[in-house]
Amino acid sequence: MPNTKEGWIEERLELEPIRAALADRKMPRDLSGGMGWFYTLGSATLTAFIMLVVTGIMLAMNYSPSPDRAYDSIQFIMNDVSYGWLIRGIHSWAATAMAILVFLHALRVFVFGAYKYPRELTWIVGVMLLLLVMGSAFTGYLLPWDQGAYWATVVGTEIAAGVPLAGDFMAKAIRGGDSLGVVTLTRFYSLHAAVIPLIIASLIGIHLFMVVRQGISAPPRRLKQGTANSPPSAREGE
Amino acid sequence: MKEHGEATDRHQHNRQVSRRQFLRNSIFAAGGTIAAGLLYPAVRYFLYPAIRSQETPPFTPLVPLATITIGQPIFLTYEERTKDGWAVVTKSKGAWVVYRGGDDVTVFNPSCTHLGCGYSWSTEKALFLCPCHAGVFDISGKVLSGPPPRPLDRIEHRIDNGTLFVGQTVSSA
Repeated sequence: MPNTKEGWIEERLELEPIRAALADRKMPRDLSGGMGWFYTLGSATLTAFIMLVVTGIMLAMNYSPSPDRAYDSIQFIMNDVSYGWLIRGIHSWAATAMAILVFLHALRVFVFGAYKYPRELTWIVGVMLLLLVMGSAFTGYLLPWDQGAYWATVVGTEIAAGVPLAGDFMAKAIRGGDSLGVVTLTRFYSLHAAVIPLIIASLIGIHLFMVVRQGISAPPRRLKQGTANSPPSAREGE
Repeated sequence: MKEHGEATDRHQHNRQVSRRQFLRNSIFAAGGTIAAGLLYPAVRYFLYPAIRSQETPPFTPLVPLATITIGQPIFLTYEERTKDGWAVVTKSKGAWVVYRGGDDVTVFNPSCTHLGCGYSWSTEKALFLCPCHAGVFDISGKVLSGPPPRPLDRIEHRIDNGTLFVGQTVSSA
């Protein structure tokens, strides 16, 4: 990293305090000894998201969200465009990775109790992000418009239709009609490529602001036996 | 810890790379390598339309040569299918075909070289006549009278197994 304490840009913009606030944060002492790896899951999820945005924008250049063209345009990406197979492959695998990583990240926060006071808001935003990632995966899966995509979406929207009273209304709203068709594909494309990514990016901004502002939580520590505050230990035998 | 590290940095700067500096450089080197490895396919992906090898336009089968009367120009229509990205575009086209026996075939673009009107073959005069501005061409496409600035445009063709295939128009200019 270039030394921002001196230099042409620093003299004008005085970025050092911002850099220090972001990079020189205090870390819990207990992160040594391998425990720190559990704290990389959030960054890994963010990396997957950035990869998805970049490759997704590139795929949008050569994709046509209409039922008679969608499949052919993906064949074009896979067989004709230089490295199209690679861009689409990264998008597909990064999507799978993000779904797994965001879940592991939430699991880590839950098991470590990191969602507790004063970080409840970070947790709430995180749960919204988890749901949005699932929504993005669901809408993205339809776009190839092959048999797997079509029937997965039929099943998925049928699940929404199974909700008592409001189900039928919800299924119609998601599909953009009584059954899967032209409007479903453009709708899912808009949600997948514009609406959901913008909301996710905004919420990530809020999520990260709170993480930087509050600092990260220390891993839970085993209290010494016999002290007054010690809760009943689950590991009494050790 | 931090102060100590930086003091050591400064002290050893001229002689050897500190552990901290080495790790920092390693991370940037690894990150840079990954970024470059991803950037190359990304740039190629974006520039594909500009750097791909031009596809040769397809030839469309027209008719078996044996079905054409020798010396008698005939107007034939055909559907030309070309690839446009992921779409296959079908264009309805026509051509005037003059067959003189053997492999001697001339295929004319059916638009007058003046303003693009469709001309036709007059059997009694044995000439191509354009109805719009009275352009007149002979059977070899040469301008005999009227405003057309150049002879009739030809369509490239080839004969494969006795069948006539047509390709793209080649301007006679």
